[in-house]
Amino acid sequence: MNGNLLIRVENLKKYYNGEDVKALDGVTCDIKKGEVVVVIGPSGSGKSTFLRSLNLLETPTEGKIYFEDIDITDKKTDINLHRQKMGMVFQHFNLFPHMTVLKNMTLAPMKLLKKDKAAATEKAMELLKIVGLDDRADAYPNQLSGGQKQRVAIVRALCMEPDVMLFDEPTSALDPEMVGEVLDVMKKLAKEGMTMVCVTHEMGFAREVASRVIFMDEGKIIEEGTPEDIFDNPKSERLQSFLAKVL
Amino acid sequence: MNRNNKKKVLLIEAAVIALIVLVLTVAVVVDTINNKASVTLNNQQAQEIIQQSFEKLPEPLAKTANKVVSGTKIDIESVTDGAEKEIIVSVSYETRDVLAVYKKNKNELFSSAYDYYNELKSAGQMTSSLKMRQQFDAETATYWDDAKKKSGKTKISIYEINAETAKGDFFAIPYEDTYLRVYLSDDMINTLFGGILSVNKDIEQTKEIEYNGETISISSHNTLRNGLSSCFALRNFSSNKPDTSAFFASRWNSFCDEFYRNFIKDAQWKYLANGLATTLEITFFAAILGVILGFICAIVRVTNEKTGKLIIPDQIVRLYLSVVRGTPVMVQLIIIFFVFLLPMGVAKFTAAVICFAINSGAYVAEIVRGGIASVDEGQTEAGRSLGFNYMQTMYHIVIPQAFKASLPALANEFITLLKESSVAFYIGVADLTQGGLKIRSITYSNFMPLIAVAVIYLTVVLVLTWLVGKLERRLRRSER
Repeated sequence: MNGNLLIRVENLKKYYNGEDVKALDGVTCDIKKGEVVVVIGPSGSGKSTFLRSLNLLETPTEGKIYFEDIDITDKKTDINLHRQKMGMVFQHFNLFPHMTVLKNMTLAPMKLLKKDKAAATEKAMELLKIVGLDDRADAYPNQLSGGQKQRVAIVRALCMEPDVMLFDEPTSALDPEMVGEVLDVMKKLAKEGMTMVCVTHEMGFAREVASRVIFMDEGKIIEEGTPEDIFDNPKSERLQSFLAKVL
Repeated sequence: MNRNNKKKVLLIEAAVIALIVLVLTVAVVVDTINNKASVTLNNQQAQEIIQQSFEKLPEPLAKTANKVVSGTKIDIESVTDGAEKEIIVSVSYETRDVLAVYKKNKNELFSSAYDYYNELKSAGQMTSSLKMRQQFDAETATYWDDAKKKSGKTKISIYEINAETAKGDFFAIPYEDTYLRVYLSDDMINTLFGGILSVNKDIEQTKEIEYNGETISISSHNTLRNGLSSCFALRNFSSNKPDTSAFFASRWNSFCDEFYRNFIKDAQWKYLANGLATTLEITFFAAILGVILGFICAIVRVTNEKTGKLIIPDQIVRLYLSVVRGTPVMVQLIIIFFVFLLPMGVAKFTAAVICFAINSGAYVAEIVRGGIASVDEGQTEAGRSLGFNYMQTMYHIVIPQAFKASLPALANEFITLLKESSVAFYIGVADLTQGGLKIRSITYSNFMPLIAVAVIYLTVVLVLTWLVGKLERRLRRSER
């Protein structure tokens, strides 16, 4: 396989209630190292399910996912080890409310990567500094604004030094004035060469940062290409009507 | 909202306690004032009052009484007016007997008459003419013995006899035409003194007065030919009005006496103290084991719900939960102890701990399950996405939050456990309840030991509630 390939998704299907609801209906795509893939599409199109399938938060009904050449859909694979290399950021942040920001960030490195406290703390503080929150290290999540929470959530995932970052609508739950600060962090991350898969409604972000845009509808990939292809030159009718609504 | 409610509850509790304290204070103050305000009578006044009360007696009786008392020098140093002072005048015949006793905080009021009667009896000097006496004394003695048994320390009030109307604290019933049987009642014990009033026609008597500083006895040799004995008692010789302050004072005194008899005497309070220690120990160990058991059961159930694994353990847990929650704790206790643990030679205390742990575990399991369900699914997802496995996610992320969420319910469960542990007395564990029952069996008192047990339970529960409230506030603060 191509040494540049990070994730390969083959004919991924996710059905609910037998075959009543087809959230994913045969998705195939490759994600290369260093790529920033933005997934867009109308709500209910399966883009979140697709993203959550990548680290098996959703168990696919059918199909295969290879992460770094290993079939993670195989029951024998220890998914927990692979999840350590796939950072995930949620729409609702999901910070641990009973821990300080620092504890949120150092918990997983200490318990899973067996880092000692000093090393984990050093790394966490370094990342907090980058996102401008080093003064809030001892705060509890409830003391932070939405934008701050999401920035912490991003650096919490980064503490595990993942190979890919998955973003599940990271700005959808934010007040408009806080969207920018989160997108800035994501842009910075993209510039540093992090592989990212991002489900978002921020078309501006997609156009500016994405190396590839995937348009999904009804559980299928309808169209994919560079931002220019997708936004300036939409081929399918569904993408055209979707863009007409959101732009 | 919640805090306001708590404030309200605290206020009500404070008000109730304040009220109790107030009533007790008033009783003490009234008692003090009453004692200070009481009149001290000199001998002459006492004599006059006795004479006056004789005048109220029915004619024949008054005559007898006058005969007995008039000319008698009553050497009373000081008689204070009040409910605690008493003069009992009794007239008997053919025996040298105590006629009048003035007594202050002494127990031996009736004993002289009774002892003397017994003395006669054992000496074989009892004649047929003593039959009536015998009956009277036997009854009196029974009451007296009962009274002594019941209270140990007995106060006898002063009663005024009004045989015609039989008013006041005593009641009189006609007895064999000529006689009137009189029973006197007391605050604590129903009948303290029984006697017979009779017309005494032909009496010869000599009187003796003994005074030993505290007790004055008017004794008399009566030689009676035609009549029978009479006995009567006087009460409250300066006023006929019911005295409320005296009532409270006497209540307060009985309270103190009861308190002494039940708790201070022979260090009986130790039954309660040791019992409380046992109750707390049982509750403590049972709560710890119960929480461990409950958490395990809750995790088994939640894991089964979420992942479909652990089907057999889940079925076992379900069976356990329904059996424990569907049977009374008392039944569980006696089954666990008598059927299983006793044959294995397990000590009662350990058996009680095991039983209550098993019982509490079932309730804790349901509480914790609710707590886990209340933790947002996103928390689990966040944990899993970082690479934690299911149990690590539970341990580091879900359980701490679930514990916090279920803390109030858990606290209630522990409080329930503390109270339910009272059934441990059934298998013979010397817990707090058992301590109260033990005192009750010694003193024959119901009120004091049982109320004390309740008050101690209540106090412990209030303290626990307060501690849990503090803990909750601290946990909540950490999130802000």
